Amino acid sequence: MANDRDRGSVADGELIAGSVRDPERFRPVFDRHFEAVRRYAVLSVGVDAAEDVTAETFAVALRRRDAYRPLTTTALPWLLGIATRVAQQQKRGERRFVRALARVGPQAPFDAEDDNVERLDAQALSPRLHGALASLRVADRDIVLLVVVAGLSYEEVASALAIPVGTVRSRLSRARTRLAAHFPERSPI
Amino acid sequence: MTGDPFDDLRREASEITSTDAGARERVWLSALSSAQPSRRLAQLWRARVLVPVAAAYLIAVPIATAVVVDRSASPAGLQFGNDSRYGTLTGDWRKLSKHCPKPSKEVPLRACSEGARVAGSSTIYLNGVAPSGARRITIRFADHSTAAARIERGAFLLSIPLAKQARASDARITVTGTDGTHSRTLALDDLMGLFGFGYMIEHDYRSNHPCPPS
Repeated sequence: MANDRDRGSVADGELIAGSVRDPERFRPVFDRHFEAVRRYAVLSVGVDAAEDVTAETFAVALRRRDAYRPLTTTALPWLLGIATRVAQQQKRGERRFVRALARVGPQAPFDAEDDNVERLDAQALSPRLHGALASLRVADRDIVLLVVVAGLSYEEVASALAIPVGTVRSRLSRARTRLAAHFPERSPI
Repeated sequence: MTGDPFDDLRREASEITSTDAGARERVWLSALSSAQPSRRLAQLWRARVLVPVAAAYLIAVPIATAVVVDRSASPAGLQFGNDSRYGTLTGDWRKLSKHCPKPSKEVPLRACSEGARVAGSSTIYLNGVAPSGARRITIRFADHSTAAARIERGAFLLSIPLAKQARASDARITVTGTDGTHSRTLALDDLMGLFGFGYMIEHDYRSNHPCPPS
C-alpha cells in the first residue's frame, strides 16, 4: 500500500501543478483518490450527503490547486483535510437548517436539540459500524476515519487538519477505548 | 482475533461498496463546473482587478491632487507635526522637494511651493537636521525681518511666509552655537542640499499656521 501511495505521490504533485492552466489535467488525481475520499465522506456524513461532500471536496481542491504544495508524497492527506472541513461545514449547515425549522414550524420534522444531523446512514452501514462511529465525538471520529480507514499517518493527519501530532494520538487513544465497547468479542478489554 | 477495535472498524469500512461509474462522472463534472463558474470569475475579477484598481485610485488621486509624491515622515515632521501650536497632524506634512526645483538666485522659494499655492496656503516650512551644537537658527529675509527656527532633538523647523517673496539667495541663515558663537551668514540656497544641514521643504497645507517664534 505504501508503495502504491508513493508511486502515485510524485505524479500527484506534477499533475496538480500541470493542471493549474488546464483543470482537465486534474482528472487523474481525481480518479486516483475518488474512492478514498468518497469512502471517507460516507463514513463521515452518511451515504446521502457523501456525493455532495465528495464533489465539493474536489471542487475546493480544483479552486486551490495553484496553492498546493506537496508536503507529503501523495495528495490524499490534502484532499482528506479538505473533505474534513467540507463535511464539518455540511454538518453545521444541516444543524442550522434543523434549528431554523424548529423555530418556524410547530411540526418541525426534527428535534433541533437532538443530534439527528450527526446521524450516520444506518441503513447503508452495518449496524455495528454505525453504532461504533456514532459513539465517537465528531473530532475523534474524523481522526479515526483518517488514520484507520484512509490509512494516513499521524503526521499526515496532523498536517491535513492543522493540529499537533500529540492531539492526533490522544484522540485516537480515546476513540480506541470507546470503540472497544462496540467490538467486545474481539477486544482484550 | 486482533484485539484491536480499529482492525474491526477498518474491515467493516472496507465493505462499503464502490460507487458506479455514472456517479463518479457526475461528481467530477460537478466539481469541475463549480470550480469554473461565473461566480468564480466574479471573485477573480474582484480580487485581481477591482481591488487593485480601487487601491491604486485611493492612493494615486490624493497624491496627484496635492502635487505631492512622498508622505514619508521627515524628522522634523515627526517632531513638530504633532505640536499643537502648529495645529497639525503628522499626516498633513508633505514633502515637496521631489518635484521642487532647488531654490537658487534665479528660483524664488515660491517656486517650490506649487503644492502650497494649490492649497491656497501662505507659509512653507523648511526643516531638516540641525547642525550639531546649534542652539539657534535664524533666517533673515530681504526686508530685514527675521524668524527663528525651532530646534528640537536635532531637528529644526523654519517657517517662511510666502508673502515675503523671498528668494533663497536673499534669505540669510545664521546658526548660533551653544557657546554663543555665530556662524558666518549663509544664503539659504547654500545651505540647502548640504548633507549636514539637511534640506527639505514641507508644507502644512491644512492649517497654514505660521511658525511661532521658538
